[in-house]
Parts: sequence; C-alpha cells; structure tokens
Amino acid sequence: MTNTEGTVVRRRDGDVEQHEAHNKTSDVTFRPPLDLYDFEDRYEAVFDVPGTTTDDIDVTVHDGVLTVEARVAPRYPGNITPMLGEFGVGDFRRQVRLGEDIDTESITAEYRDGVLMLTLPKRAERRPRKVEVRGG
Amino acid sequence: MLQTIMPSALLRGTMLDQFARNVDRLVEAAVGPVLTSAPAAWPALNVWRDGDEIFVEAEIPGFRLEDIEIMASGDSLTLRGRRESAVPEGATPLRVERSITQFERTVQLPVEIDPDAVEARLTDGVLRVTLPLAESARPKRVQIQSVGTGGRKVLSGGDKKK
Repeated sequence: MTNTEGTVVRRRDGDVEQHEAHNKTSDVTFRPPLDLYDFEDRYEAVFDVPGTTTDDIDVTVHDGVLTVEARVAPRYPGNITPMLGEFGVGDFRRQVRLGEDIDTESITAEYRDGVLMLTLPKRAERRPRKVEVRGG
Repeated sequence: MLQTIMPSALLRGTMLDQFARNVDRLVEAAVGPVLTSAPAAWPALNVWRDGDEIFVEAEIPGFRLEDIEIMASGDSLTLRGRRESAVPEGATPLRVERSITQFERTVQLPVEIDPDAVEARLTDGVLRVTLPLAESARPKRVQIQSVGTGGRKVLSGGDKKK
C-alpha cells in the first residue's frame, strides 16, 4: 500500500498534507496520521480524525484507492484572539492505495474516541494456505 | 459521547505541578515566555479567553476518559495521559504514525483561575478544559459617583398643585 498524493500544502505541525478541492466546511484540510497493520486474514488501517462524527466521515474505494474524508465543524468563536494557537481545525483527507489481496466489498469501519478504524479483509483465495504434508 | 469530568475529580496542584512550573521558569529564562509554546510538545494546545473563562483545547484521539488526568492550580494546568500501546497483538506493523501512548503537558495561565471550578470534556478525541477566572481576576464594575457641582441640577418647587 502506498500513498496517493495530491497538491501538497503545509499543515499544523510542520508536516505536509494533501489538499484538493472538495466539499468542505473549513478552509484547510489536514492529512491524518495513519497506522497500518497486517494480520493473517486482514489489514487494519487506523486514522486519527478527532472532532468529527460518524455521519461526517466518508470512506470510499475507487480504482484500488481508498479515500478517507472527514468533515470537521469549526469549534472556535470567530472574534477571539487565542492566547496560544498551536493547531488548526479543519477537515481531514487521506488516500491509500490498496493491494490486490484486499476484498474491497467487505471493508468495515468504526469510529470511536476520535479514531477511525478500518478493517480490510484479505481475499480468501489469496491468503497463503498451509499445506499439510502427509507421510506415505 | 459527551463526557464531563466533574471538578471533584480534579486535584489541586502538587509537587509535580511545582516542578513543572520551575521547568517553565527555566525555559522562560532561556527562550522567552512559556506561552509561546515548545515545538515538539504534544498534544498541541489552543488556549483562548472568552469573557470570564479560559479555554484550553487539545486533540488526543485514542485516549479515553480513564486514560487522562487533569490537574489545575491557581495559575497552571497540567494534562497527563497514558494508554496501551497502539500496536495490536498478532499484527505486523506496516506503518506507525500514531505512536504517542503517553504525554504530559503543563501550561502556565496568564491569569488566576479557580481550580475548584475547572471542568473538562472529552468528545470524539477533543479535550476541552474550561477554567473560570478567580473572583480576584474578574473585571469589576466601578461605581461612579458624582461629586461637587457638576451633577444634575435638582428641580424643586415646580408644578406644585394646590
């Protein structure tokens, strides 16, 4: 799996992020951190997308590319000057190219504590199978 | 989904708090005011004041209410968190960007707050702490008294009816 990058803009902690025109509730789009784990029968992809809701998250697969988008509503009163402003609040978007061993029809998603967890089952026929060797 | 830490769960400042404040003072001596932030500090904080309340907000996705501890004293706030390692058992990690499993951060507040009235909410990975200003730090309305002859002229004796 590799990242598919669009135009790159600067993000809150100095990292770069992907930025493309889409339906947004805010001006800036952030690239959420990602953990990717390989299990025997599945992959798990975990994204930090705090401050959104289940209804505001879109997970799509198109041409072998998984796209995660999350809309984040502004949280601050507009007329306030912060005493300390270390991070920005905005939508999240990240794309991941999927391997051919993933059954894209069976991907499931769960959102809890600001974390989106995707379970990506591997195709049964592509899974390595242990072949039993019998003695004669 | 919306959870509130009641003020009773918040402890007053401790020795650790004092230690953190001393560290802040050293930092301040070296690089300037602490409120201008340290680059690698996690979590990043937004702090603002709205009326008689200071708000401190942090994004700490993956930490649950029971994973965090909040300490408030008269002029500082400390956030602490610790969670299980993010790497699940039986998995080969291909990419790990969410590696933070514990944190501690102290922020020095520019005004005195009331530590007993502090409240915190953790909603979808966003921690917001509300710190009401101490009574002594709240703006007071000053009563204006008119003294001398500049005041309003008092009309007397007019329109008397028989």
